[in-house]
Amino acid sequence: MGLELAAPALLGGLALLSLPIVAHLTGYRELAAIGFPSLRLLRASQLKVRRRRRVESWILLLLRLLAVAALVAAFARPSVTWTARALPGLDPTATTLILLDVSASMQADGSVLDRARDDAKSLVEGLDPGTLAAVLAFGGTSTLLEPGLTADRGPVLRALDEVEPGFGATDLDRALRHARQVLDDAGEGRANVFVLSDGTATTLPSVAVWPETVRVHYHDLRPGPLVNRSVSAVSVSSDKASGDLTIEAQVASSDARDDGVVPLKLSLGEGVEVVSDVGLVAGRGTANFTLPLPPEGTAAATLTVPPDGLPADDVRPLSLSGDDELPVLLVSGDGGSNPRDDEVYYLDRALQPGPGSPSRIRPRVVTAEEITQITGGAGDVVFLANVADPRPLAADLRAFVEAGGGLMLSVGSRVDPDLWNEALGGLLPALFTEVKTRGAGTFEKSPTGLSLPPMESDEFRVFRTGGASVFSRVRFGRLIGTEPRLQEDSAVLLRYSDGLPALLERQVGDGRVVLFTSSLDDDWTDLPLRSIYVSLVHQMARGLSGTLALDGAREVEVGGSLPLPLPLADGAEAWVLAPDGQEHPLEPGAAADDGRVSFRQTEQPGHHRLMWKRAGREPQLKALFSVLVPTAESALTAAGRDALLAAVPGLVFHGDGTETGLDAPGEVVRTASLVPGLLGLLVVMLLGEGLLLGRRA
Amino acid sequence: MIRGRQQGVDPGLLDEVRQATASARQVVHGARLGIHRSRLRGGGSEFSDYKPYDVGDDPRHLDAKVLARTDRYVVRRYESERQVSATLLLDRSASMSFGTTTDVADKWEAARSLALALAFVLLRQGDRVGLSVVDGAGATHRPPRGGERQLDELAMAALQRPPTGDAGLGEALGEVLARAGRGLVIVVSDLLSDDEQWLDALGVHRARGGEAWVLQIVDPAERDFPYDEPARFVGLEGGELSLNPRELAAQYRTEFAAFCEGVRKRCLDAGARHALIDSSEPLGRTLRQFLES
Repeated sequence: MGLELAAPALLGGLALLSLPIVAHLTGYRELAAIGFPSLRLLRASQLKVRRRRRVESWILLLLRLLAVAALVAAFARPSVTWTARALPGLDPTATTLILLDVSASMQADGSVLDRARDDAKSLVEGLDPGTLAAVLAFGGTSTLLEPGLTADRGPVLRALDEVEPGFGATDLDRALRHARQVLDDAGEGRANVFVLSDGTATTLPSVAVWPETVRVHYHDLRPGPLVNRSVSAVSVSSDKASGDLTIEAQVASSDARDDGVVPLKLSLGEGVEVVSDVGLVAGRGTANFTLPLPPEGTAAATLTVPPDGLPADDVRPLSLSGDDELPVLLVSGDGGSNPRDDEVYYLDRALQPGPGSPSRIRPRVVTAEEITQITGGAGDVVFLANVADPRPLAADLRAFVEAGGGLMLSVGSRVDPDLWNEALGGLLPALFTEVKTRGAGTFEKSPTGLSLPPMESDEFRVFRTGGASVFSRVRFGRLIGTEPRLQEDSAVLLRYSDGLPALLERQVGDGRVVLFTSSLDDDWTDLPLRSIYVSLVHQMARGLSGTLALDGAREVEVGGSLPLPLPLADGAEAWVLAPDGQEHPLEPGAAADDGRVSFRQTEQPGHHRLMWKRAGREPQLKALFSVLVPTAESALTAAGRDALLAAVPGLVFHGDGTETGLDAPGEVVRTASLVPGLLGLLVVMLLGEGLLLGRRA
Repeated sequence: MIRGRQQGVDPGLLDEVRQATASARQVVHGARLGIHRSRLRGGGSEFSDYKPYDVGDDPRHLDAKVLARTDRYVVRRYESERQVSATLLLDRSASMSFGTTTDVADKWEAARSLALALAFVLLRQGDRVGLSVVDGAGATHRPPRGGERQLDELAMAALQRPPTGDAGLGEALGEVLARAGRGLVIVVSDLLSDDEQWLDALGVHRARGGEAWVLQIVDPAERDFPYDEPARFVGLEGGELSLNPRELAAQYRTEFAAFCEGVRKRCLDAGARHALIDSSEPLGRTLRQFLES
């Protein structure tokens, strides 16, 4: 046996051994001597430092030992196992879908939702690794929380933490259908569905057969009997004679045996409050509030019952509209000897409310010669019909419109286009050119009618249900042409069948001007003789007064939808201002055929405000509506164990300390790995050691 | 006339303190008139208080205004201003030879200059000044005297030899106090002696009616400990210690600050005035501030 070197020359590298030797020799040196007055304090300092070092050394040793021990233990991957109480029905190996009730009633008695959330977490945490789980939050609607069915516990637990209480109904049917759909889509065979609810339901599940491999567990988490009082219905009426506004509020209790007295408070804003004691009989009672001075326009009001087990519905919003009359001034420019010849004869008749009519329009006729001044503003309407010389009124009319008033202009034989252009040029949507004749000047022979009106606009929306075809049959013998170029902030609302503008509008200041380029009597057109005339002039009057947008339902339950009108002007915006201050924009692209957008963001009860904003102008409150907690939810209607068992065969009902079904309250074996904790300990030890060494340095 | 041109005394320093006066805080005993307040009443010009007239009192001291106002016979009493007999106790132990500043060679030079400047001030105002120098070889005493030549003699005594050994401050102070009676005793030292009996002796002196001033001389290096490299620290009064200054510098500074504060507090408790003198600071200004405080 012999030793051979493949590269003996490299042994020359052994010369490098001299480096540590040199370093050793040069590193040793005699300590310098320093004379010092007294060593007494130095010795005392050294003694204290040594004592401290001694303690630190032990700590350092301990930290290092623990760090090594933690590292070694982590490699051994230890875990702990224990038995924990689990929500009855938990099967750690079965796919688990949790239906978490977030309806309004889950806010009862503190918050049942918090308990449900905790139970849901314990369910998720009790599942074996790899078992799929998902959470579906339901109320009036049903939402599968992100990330859906997953074996990753973290996102599911985070989603549970982020669930917020809702104010909607308890649509158990929708939730169970959704759950079935989720399981079917995932192709999961064996699964457990847990419904964590408070035992109430506004919609019971329809009878459906679930696969035998899927078990539905309903957990009634209601803490005990609960009495909830709320305003179940409100009606507002006005007395025509006295002008009083009467609010009738019905108070209902969830307990039919409730015969208590409920102090119901009506708040009208600005600190105005009225309280009325409502005596309940068999859980029902009625309160009447009479307001001698109805609010101007639309006002937000609330009805409040004292705090009870379910605070979510204690305050009921409502909007009050005073039964304000809508004064319309008809300025006639052509009186005539015969009443039928008066320019506003048909107009006045059309606008006058008949006996028993709900119309609030109150027309008043004056002649152009009589009137010397026009005043008013927002909410007021003036019809200026065929006035020969509008110059004396021009300044007043301008101020009236800029202040928010509505002005309807119509023409006729007395109108001199040039004179009107001069006097009313600042109000006209388009300047006049000349009087045009059709069919030799008589409408009977004229082929000219009206084109189909834009049904999405407020003024013509009523004709969607009938009368639209009449527009084409109206005939015009004369009309006044307008310049093709419109004035600023102007638009054409309706055209003649030959394309000329018939109805134009212009925004001036806070008000609006509508120009009809023919007459409103039967001199130039047979429009007053047509069936659409009454509706058309009514709509014009109401449109100019700004009250059209408030038509329709003013209340919707949480989760419901409400059609809301959009502004027609280019560049205009619309949004809904929710009670929490959040703005929900209304997208024109989502508008239906009638020009309205279905507003669905009704998750929060309270007053909502529809706001419009035209380009360059301040936002305007266009309508006020209320979102209500569903009445059925306030009633805390019990789902009923028997009803649930009947609707979902095989359902296991857990509640009131009893379980109906197969499963009994159980335990689950939990296992937790100690490796993360040990690694954390290791990091802490190393940090501690670093701190100690750093302090020494 | 004390001119301050004596050997071993910095003339500049004496010029700086020429206008200063050194007044005892306490009333002192003295046989001759001077600038210090005395316990003796009646013969001076400074009003002290009233006392009811009694048989034997000088009727010239009856206060006529009080008699007219209150119909009571009271006598005005006056306080005498007397000379003081001051003894300087100068520490010449080996630790005083430590110095790292440029203005003075070491703490000994600073202490000696301060002591002689103080003597100069006291002699100028007519007081009598003595000097006791204590070192490892024992103590030498110069009894208190006044006059022009006394400053020369004190300077000569201080310049006899360089600092050496351990001073034994407690024992030396006992001797000085025994000689000084109830006069003013001024200790100028770094106070690093292990013997702390001197503090107790000061308390006794104060209780007897005397007054004591303590001027503690400190070099910046022993306060700030500006050392970095491991070294062998040799005690000027004996001993040796090898250590790494970086490890205990912070602790040492804390200890030194606590030591100085402890000395100051104990001096005040003993009724003595205390001043911490940084040898790197201008001595004239430091002494003036002390005398004016």
